[in-house]
Amino acid sequence: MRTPAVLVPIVLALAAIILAPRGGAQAQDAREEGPFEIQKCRTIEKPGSYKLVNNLTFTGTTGTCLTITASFVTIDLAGFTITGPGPAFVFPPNGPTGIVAGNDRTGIAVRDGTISGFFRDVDLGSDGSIVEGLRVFGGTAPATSGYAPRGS
Amino acid sequence: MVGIFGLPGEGTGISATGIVTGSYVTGYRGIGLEIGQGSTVIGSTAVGAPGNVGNAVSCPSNVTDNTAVNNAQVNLELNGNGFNNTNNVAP
Repeated sequence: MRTPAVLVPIVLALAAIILAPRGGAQAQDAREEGPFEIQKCRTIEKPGSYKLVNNLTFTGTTGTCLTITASFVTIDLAGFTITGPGPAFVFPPNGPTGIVAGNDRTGIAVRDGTISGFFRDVDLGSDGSIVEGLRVFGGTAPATSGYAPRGS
Repeated sequence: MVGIFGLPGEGTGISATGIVTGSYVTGYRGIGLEIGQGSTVIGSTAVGAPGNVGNAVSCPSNVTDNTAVNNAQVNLELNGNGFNNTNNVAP
């Protein structure tokens, strides 16, 4: 049975109405899956893909710039830099850390960027980590800082 | 993490267990690359300034094509047995 020509525009309009919200939902789903933007030092509490969108600066003498409390997290530094207070600063024991993941987390990936000026720059205590293409310039102060070399 | 090298409180560049590739670490006093058991480390560099240990790796692990120089204590510290230790520059 052939559809009358007068019904064609109506059918097309109905199809557009039905399909349009579904397309929007798909786009929103994609946003919810990431990569999520990182604009400042923070805690990452959910699995997923994260990406720096600017340089980060951490000025604390203790604590961490990016703390990962979830498993299966990927952080793309995207060529940006995370800068700590060193090396001019003399760190206390357990001084600041650039990126840390707890020992009970797994599947953490960090790639493609620079981290500088921390006491511990990248500390992924968990198994199954991937570190790729990082440039790390530690924040250790010179020998006059009072930290004795190993074995002394 | 299996195998902790260096004294606490000295600072570390990268500490990880898994795959570490194509990374460059310098400016640490404690350990440049602190790598746990069962890891693969390929094409990474640890230049001490004034670091004590360049690459500290626990066994068994695959350690290939890495460079560790100018570390005051040890350039490449392999702890235990079962390594694939190939083409590393660590005088």
